[in-house]
Amino acid sequence: MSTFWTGLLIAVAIIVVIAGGSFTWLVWRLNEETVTPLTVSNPDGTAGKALVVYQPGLSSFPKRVTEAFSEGLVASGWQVSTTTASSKAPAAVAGYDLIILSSPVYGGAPGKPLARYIERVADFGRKPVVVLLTGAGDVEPAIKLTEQMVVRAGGRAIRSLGLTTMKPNDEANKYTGSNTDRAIQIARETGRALQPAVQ
Amino acid sequence: MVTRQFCAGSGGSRRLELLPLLPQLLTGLRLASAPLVWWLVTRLELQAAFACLGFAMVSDAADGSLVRRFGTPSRAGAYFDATADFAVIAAAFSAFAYLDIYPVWLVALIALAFLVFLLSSCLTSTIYDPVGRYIGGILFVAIAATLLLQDLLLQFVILSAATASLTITLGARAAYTLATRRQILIGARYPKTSL
Repeated sequence: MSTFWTGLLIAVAIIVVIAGGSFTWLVWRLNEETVTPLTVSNPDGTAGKALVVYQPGLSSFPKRVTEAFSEGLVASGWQVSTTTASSKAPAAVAGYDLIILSSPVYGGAPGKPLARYIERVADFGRKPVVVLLTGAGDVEPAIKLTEQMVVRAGGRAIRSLGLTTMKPNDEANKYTGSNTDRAIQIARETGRALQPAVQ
Repeated sequence: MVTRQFCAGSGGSRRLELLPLLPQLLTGLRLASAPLVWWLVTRLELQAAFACLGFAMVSDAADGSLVRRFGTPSRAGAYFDATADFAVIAAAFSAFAYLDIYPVWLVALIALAFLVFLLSSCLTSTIYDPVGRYIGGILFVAIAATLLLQDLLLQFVILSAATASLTITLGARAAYTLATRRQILIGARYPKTSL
């Protein structure tokens, strides 16, 4: 066997061992919930009360997109309550006018903590729900899956937004910066423009 | 047969003279492909970027074989080869950092590993570095997997694998270089005396 192939085999073996260890840790980490307190932005907002439940994910991208969306809501006068998807997140959603469910996409599906939160709420009481998913490539199958979960739990999926790091987010070239910068701007703009669609 | 063909006529002998330069030409082309890789990735032209990376990987495998075949290995050629590898890897990971796929500190870690490689190679010719020999291959595979399999979970696995590999090679090289330097210093302080 040539040096090249021996080298390649050793490189692949090293990758498999390290990736296997990382993967085991990741499976544990992805199933684990992140518990954060409910924070309220713009408590004097008059447009309505919105609840943002999000899964932070492993990179900063999902959180940044969720924050930008919340900023857009606040800019258009919403009172926004934000928390992470966990057993401590409010399951009684009757007091809110709008629910935003945000999660990264792993292996073509939304994060498990968010899926468990939807199951725990069980009945959204026909409340309008926005699905906000972030991923690396194609997020459409995950959006459809999440919408089905929302509908099964008695919610109305009024808007879904999928933003990615490796597929163009802004094909109309409306925004500036990198693909992720554009994703942040799109999220903020969608949050800001949501009010007329809900009312 | 190839030799006879090249030896026929003066034009043929010139081609034969130039043939040993083929590995350097390939390495040079790989170096030149680095900015193209960066540009293609940041423009999200991922298939074209993958093709460009494929060329870099094939040329990396081919230039070493050609050097051994023509019997023209040199220290400068080895450094040129490592620099071209580093340029392509750094370009790809910088582009990934620009797209927020991987953190900026990973690019800094790659640059540090290359710097330590250069310094440790200057200080000592033999070094125990179980991963360093394959770090280029590991990072090339990491780039290819990132471009092909677009998934956040997989990207985190790649980030962990790349960080672990770079840390191992950095640690091994730093420890071995320090140990060698200490031996040199002890040797200079207590020179062997002959009776």
